[in-house]
Amino acid sequence: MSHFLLIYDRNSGTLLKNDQFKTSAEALKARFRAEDEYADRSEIEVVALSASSEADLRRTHSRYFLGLDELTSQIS
Amino acid sequence: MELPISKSQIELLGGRMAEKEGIDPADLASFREVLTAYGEALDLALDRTRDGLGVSPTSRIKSLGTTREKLLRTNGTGLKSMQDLAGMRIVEDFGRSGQDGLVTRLTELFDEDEREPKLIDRREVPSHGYRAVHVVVFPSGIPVEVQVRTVLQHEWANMFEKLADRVGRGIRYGEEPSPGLTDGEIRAASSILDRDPEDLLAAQRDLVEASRTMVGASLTMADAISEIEELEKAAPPGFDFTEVKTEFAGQLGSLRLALDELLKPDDMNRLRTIVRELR
Repeated sequence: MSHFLLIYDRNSGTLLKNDQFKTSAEALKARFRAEDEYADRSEIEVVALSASSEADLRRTHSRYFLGLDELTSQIS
Repeated sequence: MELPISKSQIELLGGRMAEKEGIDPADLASFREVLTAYGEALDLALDRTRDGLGVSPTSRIKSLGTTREKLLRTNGTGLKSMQDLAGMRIVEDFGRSGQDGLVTRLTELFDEDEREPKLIDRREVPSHGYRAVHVVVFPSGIPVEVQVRTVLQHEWANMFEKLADRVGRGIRYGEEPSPGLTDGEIRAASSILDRDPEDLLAAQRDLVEASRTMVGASLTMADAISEIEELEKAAPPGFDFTEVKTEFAGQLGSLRLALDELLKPDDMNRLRTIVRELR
């Protein structure tokens, strides 16, 4: 399994950080540190995720990786 | 696996986390200990699901921001019974019967635990357009919500989440779109931008109106997905819905063009940045 920390700006729709960790516990600790760093930024989403591969993560959480135009392109 | 504090203490913690002043550092530390325990349960559930069903689930612990948003909507109640603090997602290219089959296998995989899995069928009762099947499982007694989605359900949910990022996350609960800026904030920021405040207020009104249209179009799209699923349910075994889905996808072109227009960088994004600095 791979473990990720994503930091995402909801307003601009851009991914600010995509770091990988060896364990989910390490990713969660990194998330807690990042939450402290962005504590006064409600538009910043800090999330720790696990997946077999980054490709799987990009498929199930494509919102963080693609713009809205690309998301709608996927459907149509 | 035990939680670091009791259920009643977790509920009290949730109440304090919803206070407007923000979260006390001691409460934040306590909440993070609770999340760490949920994370251990989630790891167990993830491994069991992947190995037992041969699928590729992904998992996440609910973010602090979205947890707090949920607590604010419920006046600080419900943290002890919040079922999606730990969550998994499975997205497969299957139809309604394939989705039902996977849900059955998933339920069987967890039905020997101390609590039976709980099924929430958001196809029968959609949540403001959102469609999927959720199964809450209880490895080591801690709830883990598993979202099982078809590709169409998933892409719709992704698009609506993204739209919510732009026009206000309340649309996911049936609220009106909101750009998140007050008229006073826009007027204060207009001098920094050297723009007529009335122009910016008009831009905000236009954005809200466009957002309403986008939300309406998205909900219509969700209804169409529902119709396709109903057809799949009623169709004889082996009936191929590829053509129906392709035809449906073609109808989404105009919506995509409209969404592209809404996504364009505009004054409102710059305005949000300035307002954030003013705050």
